[in-house]
Amino acid sequence: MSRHPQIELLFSEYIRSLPLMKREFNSPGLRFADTDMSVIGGVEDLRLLDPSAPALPIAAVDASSNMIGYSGGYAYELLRAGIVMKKGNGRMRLIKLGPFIIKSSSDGASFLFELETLAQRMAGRRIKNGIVLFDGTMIESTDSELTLGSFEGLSNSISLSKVVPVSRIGNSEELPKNPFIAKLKDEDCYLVRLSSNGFVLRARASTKDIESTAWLFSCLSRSDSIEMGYPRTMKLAHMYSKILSMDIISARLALFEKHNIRARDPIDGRKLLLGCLWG
Amino acid sequence: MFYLLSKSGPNYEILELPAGDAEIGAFLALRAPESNRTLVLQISDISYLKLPGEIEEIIRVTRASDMLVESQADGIFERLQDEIMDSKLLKCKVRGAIQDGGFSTNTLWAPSRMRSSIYAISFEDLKSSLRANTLIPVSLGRALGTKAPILLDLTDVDGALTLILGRKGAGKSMLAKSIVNSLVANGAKCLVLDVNNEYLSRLPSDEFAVWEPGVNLRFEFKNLSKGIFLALLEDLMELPPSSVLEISRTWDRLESSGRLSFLGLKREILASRINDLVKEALSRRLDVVYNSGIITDDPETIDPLAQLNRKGGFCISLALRGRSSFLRRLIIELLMKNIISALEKDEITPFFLFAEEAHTYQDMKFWEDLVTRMRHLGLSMFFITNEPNSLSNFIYRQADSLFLFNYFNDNDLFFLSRVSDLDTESLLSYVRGLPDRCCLAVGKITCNLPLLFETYADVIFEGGKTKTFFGARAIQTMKRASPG
Repeated sequence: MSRHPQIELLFSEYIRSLPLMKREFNSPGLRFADTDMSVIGGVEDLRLLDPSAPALPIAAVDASSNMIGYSGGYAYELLRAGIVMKKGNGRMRLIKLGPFIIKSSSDGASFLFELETLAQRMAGRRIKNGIVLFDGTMIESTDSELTLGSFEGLSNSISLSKVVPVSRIGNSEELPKNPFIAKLKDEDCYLVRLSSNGFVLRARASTKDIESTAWLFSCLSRSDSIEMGYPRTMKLAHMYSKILSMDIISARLALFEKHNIRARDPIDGRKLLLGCLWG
Repeated sequence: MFYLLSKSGPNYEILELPAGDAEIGAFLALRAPESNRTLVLQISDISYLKLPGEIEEIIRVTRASDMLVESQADGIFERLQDEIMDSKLLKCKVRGAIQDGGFSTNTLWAPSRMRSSIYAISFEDLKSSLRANTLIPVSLGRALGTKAPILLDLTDVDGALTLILGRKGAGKSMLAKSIVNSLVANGAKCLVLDVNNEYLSRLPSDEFAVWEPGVNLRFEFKNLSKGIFLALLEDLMELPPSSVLEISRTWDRLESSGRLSFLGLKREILASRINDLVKEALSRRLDVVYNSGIITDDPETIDPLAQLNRKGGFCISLALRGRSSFLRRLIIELLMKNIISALEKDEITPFFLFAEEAHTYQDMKFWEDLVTRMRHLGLSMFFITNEPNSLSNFIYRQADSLFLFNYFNDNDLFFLSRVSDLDTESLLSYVRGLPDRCCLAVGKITCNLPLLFETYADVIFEGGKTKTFFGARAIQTMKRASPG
């Protein structure tokens, strides 16, 4: 799954228009994924969201990780998660988990999944009869099977993908401009527009049928400020879980100050072999 | 802790992590261990370190202030992050180097970035390298950051030209008064040309006297030299040369007959057989001089020059407030011509002259001439003004020391940056942000190191009082009168 298919789409159109490339693209063996995936026909049960649905408590969860460096045969990873909760018109609550530094003996090991699951459970415990939102992008990109289910507090969960599924929309003119939800045929996920003229997102929910899912998304659109089709709490959760360059600098300093460990960047073979210009 | 980040020409960038209390104008010593040399840097500006992701972090912190926040993180991590965000980038100018215990302007070398040690250093610590000893130490204020007393050498203003500049109310007169006090306390003689009558002693004192023109400042006519009197009429009163010649002849006639007096001169002119128009013009000018009260035939008049020859330290302020522009010029012209003449003949000993807003009572040519000759005459001069462009480029070029108080106006600042020896960047950075009563000193008085300090409040003089309509009493009356 590409991270930015909408950008790739535009770029591929540009490349295709270049004189030298035209012949190559018109060859029978080459097909572009974005041109033949008109799935409006692949949508089943499209419903408009109910504007009279009640507002529910919301908790949005996100986590991220980044490599700090290597030292003494160990890899050091930085993790942080953010939970943003909104109940009615009260002040939003932010729970910052981390940054935590994780030491592991393996390059590929990551504790991100564990931290995100922990944060989701914590969010589920903190709100009753509400909605727990989490980032669906990771699920799609890693094919991880994060639990999409009901929590102890009887809250339902929704995973939203930040990636606008341009390739799945096809002719977007045919989709309603008003908030809607549509189930994708043969898939356990939905296309959803949470605000009028907002972006169409790919989503999954813990609910079992289209009826209750439509109601859940209706409640979500009533419960949170929706900015360009994306819930504000989720946006804040991304903000507070993102690992910035400064976090990495602080983590390296902390490692040194507390444990006298100097974490270094991994050796970049490509850079070594090709030099700084081409590496 | 300070770390050397970069160097470009005379500019050094120093990282301060964690952020301390370094202030603009403070000195840093950058010691290069391999060569046993130390660069003297001065902070000219302070900014924050540019970090990747800093804007995102600031947005996160700002947004979090609207939310209830619970944090589950290692305290050390948050502390370090705050320290990094707060770390400061000190932009410094190199001012010189210390080598073998002495100060040198040789900065044509670059210290090691990794092995150099950087530490704050005070002006007083630097002074031991700058000069062997301070002959007459006086404290005119406290260092801006450390509040340590700043000791300057009073001999640096002796035989020198010093400028004190600053916008109205910034504290330049206060500094001038402190210098006067220090000079008097050390036995020096001072004459202040006081346009606002603000150098009046709070308490009666033999050391602080006031000359009021026409009252206790008068010149006996017969003691005046003909040359001075004629120059006064010619230069100041624009008397035509033919009329000057007529006066000169009359003067000689009266002097040879032993009848020289001011009134006698006037009578003689009126009785002479000259053109009536010339006669009237002469008479009118003589009346103006006589009515000023500064010239008299009274034999009891105390010679002002004799007062200037008193023993011990003292200050005489010439009260000029309330005098017309012409009278001020007349008084100063007459006084200064007499003083210069006496100095040339060694009739009076060297003294310090403080000229407040000098351009309002003499033109620049007069002052330029005086500045050219001041060292030979035995004059040490101070110009005090709030209009920097009222002094000529020549005066700035000749200045030995400069005290600069706050200016906001860009035109004033750019003018000063053109005429002062300090680089534009430093001058703008220092002077624009100076609080009241704080100044930038540069030149001989500070061994050519720009120095920022807070001046002491003067307690000897009454100070310039601002008369206001809404004085304290008026405000109280208005408060009582207003309902509620």
